[in-house]
Amino acid sequence: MFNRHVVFPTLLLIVSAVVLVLVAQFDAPMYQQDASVDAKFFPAAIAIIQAIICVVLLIQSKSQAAVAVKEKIFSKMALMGAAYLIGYAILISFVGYLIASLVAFVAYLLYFRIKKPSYYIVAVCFVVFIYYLFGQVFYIALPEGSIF
Amino acid sequence: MLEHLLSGLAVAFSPAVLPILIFGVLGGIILGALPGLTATMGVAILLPFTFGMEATPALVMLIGVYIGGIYGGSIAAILLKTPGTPASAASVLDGHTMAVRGQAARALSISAVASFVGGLISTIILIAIAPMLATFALRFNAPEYFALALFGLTIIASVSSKNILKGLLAGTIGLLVSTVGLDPISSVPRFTFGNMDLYSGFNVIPVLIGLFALSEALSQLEKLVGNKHTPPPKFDHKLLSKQDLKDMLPTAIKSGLMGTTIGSVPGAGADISAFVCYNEAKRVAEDPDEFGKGSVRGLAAAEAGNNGVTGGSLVPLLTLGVPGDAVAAVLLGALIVQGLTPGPLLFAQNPEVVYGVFSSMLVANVIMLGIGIFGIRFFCRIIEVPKIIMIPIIIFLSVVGAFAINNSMFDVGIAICFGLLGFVLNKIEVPSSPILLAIILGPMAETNLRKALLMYEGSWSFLYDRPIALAFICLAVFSVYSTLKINRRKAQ
Repeated sequence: MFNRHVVFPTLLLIVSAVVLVLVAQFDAPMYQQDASVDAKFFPAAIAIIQAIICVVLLIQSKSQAAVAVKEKIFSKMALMGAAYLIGYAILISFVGYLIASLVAFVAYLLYFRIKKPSYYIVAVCFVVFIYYLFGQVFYIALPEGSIF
Repeated sequence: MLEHLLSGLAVAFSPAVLPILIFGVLGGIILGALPGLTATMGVAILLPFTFGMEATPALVMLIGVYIGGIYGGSIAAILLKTPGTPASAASVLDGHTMAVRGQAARALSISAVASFVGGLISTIILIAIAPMLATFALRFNAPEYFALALFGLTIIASVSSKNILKGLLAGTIGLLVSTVGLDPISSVPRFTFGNMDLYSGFNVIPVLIGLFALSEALSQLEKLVGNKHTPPPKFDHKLLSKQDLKDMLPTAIKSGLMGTTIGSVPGAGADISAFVCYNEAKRVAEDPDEFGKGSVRGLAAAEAGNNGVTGGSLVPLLTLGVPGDAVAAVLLGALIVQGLTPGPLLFAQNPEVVYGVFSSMLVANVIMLGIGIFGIRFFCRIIEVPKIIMIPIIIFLSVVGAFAINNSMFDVGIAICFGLLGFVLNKIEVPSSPILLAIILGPMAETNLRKALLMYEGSWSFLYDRPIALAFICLAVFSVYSTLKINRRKAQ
């Protein structure tokens, strides 16, 4: 099994390298300024610092002979949660906040086999209340879908 | 001045103004507690309601919303680990830990009292030495702002006590994220990949909602397996004890003073103040290990620090006509709508309005304390809601909050991405708060570093040429040194 204390710094080391490559490709400013540092300086400096920290962390994890943690980063439930979040966002973009939230809340309660009707009533009341509060009281637009 | 102040108090307690003030503070607390609705947004939302009002009640209501909004953010931060406003992000560290231990009422009462102390000190200073503070704040230029941002970034070391390197790594992630968008000096697109949504960079609200709220929702969901019928956590109704009050007061007073000073510096808001005050309280504490584990002083420092900004940010607005932060900019609009011109002449031409606002700020802080303390039983009910129903509520509120900032589904996507990132970071023991801190302070550091270099024609001598900048740099070095020393002592 991969040691997460090795995998994460390694991934970020790759990110730093990618950042440095992208920084080199930044456009030149339309108006040249008499500046000693340009748009590349800050991200490049941070990427280098990040790479150094990653290398030190990798050395540290090796010297400490860290015990590989057996617990998975994403358990089945966490993966389900991530999928739920993404699915909810996609649903909103199709049917808008109100319907998507009602569907998502009820689907969530059904998934956990909740039988108490009060929970379903709370779900509907909460979604409608938020919709009314933001849309009608504060005049803040809530997401609208492409269908509704 | 005393005469004006007394007549201002009479106005604040008049039947025409007091209900408006109470409404403003209560509205601010509710808006602040909702994730995604900041104090700035609250003031902006209620601004149109003041168009038909007289100048004093109109400003009093908006000031009430501002004070209530900054405090309200801490309620959701403490109870749900979902900071209602960026200013409350530092309160999560100790406040939520207390709530998890069943001490939600204690945490909320400490937060209310510390916010009151910070707000009161800030208002008193605003009344007493507003013009003097404004002159000091005017001395700030790019080198000073850069040094202030650098000092702020050293807080990363103290909020990552478990492993400073991991904290720094998180800080670099945040700094890199803060560089996305148009470069602040020459408008060169950076890491935008031709996507228009990325041109303005990442908004801090969706990021903080993702890092704190959505990642927490995922963690709770994971823990839910197998114990979905577990009864909700019980909490005692005990408010803060006399000992808590004794412990927190010196920290709250100091943080209130610091918050006022930070607030009076244009550009430095309540979020930066809360973290700076938290770091300072941790640095001088005899038991820095307690910070992040439910420390009374940690929570008090963050809360007094963010509410301390409320008076400070009005200093440049009222005395110079320069808005110090976003809320002050909205208030500037309100002043102009009322036909008033902010600046030194405001004190001479409309003393009844100025002192009416000052007195109302004093009263607003008392009202905030009252609502904060008496509302605890009601607020704590939130924690009694079963986890199984609370998780989707957090998710839906987070999505609404992320969307409401720019009316953009792109921000919802950002919140989800940072939610997943926060969840993964939590698993590998990398703290999330340095990312947020770096996103807030990164643009301030970069913009002002480059402006300073332009001012000094490429020379870095501004780092030691300017006394205020030098003082902040010394403080930054000292802050890192003391954190490292504490960690070494701990390791031994």
